[in-house]
Amino acid sequence: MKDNLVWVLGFCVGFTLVLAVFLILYLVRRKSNEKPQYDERQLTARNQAYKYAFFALLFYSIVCAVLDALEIKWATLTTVMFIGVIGSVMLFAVICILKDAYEGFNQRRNSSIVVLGIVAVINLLVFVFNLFDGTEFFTNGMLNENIMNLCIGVLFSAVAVVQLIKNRINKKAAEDE
Amino acid sequence: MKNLKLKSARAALDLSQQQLAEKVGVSRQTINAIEKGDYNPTIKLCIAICQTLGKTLDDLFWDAT
Repeated sequence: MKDNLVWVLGFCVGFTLVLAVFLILYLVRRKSNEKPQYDERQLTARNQAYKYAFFALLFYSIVCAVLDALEIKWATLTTVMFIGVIGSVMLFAVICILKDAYEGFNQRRNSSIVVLGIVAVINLLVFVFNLFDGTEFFTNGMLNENIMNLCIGVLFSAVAVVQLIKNRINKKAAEDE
Repeated sequence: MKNLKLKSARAALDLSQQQLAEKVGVSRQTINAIEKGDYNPTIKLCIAICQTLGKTLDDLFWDAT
């Protein structure tokens, strides 16, 4: 019970921090009229990405439901839920980046990489600290909520790396043109 | 199918894809996709491109063959 309370408290603090960072970014962008604008091709690509992420989450939920029915428990309910959300968000972001629709055409290409990188590093550091601290990542043979920092760290680093690679490709294509 | 007419009209005005994209209000990748034939623009975007390049829809987007 106490462990759960600590986890919920930690989650709330982390969530509030991320929310605060995004709120600050939103306000800064609004003040400097840097609200992202997407052209028609980008909007279509984003719609497709939403669709793929939605169906991926649907498929994942069905697989999890089947596994649960077969009494195959691999993670706690909260963990299962969050891994699905994280996975579908990652899919959405990666598809958008690959189709040049993650950032608006009026935005600087590297603006989001810094934020993504910071969130990734913080979460990976928390995971490493937990690892050396002897935190348990399994409860009754199931992955528990403590693995969440690793999942979020991997999500944000993957998105940042894909964005970085795509920026390089775009830069080269613009030079070759 | 590649849109070479658009590419040559842009080149004739000595505009890069980025410059044309900024004038039209889209991303460089969108102009690139149209030139490569990977994206079919809406009539609204076609008109914006034509007006920017001083061409008609027939000049840039009509393929007689």
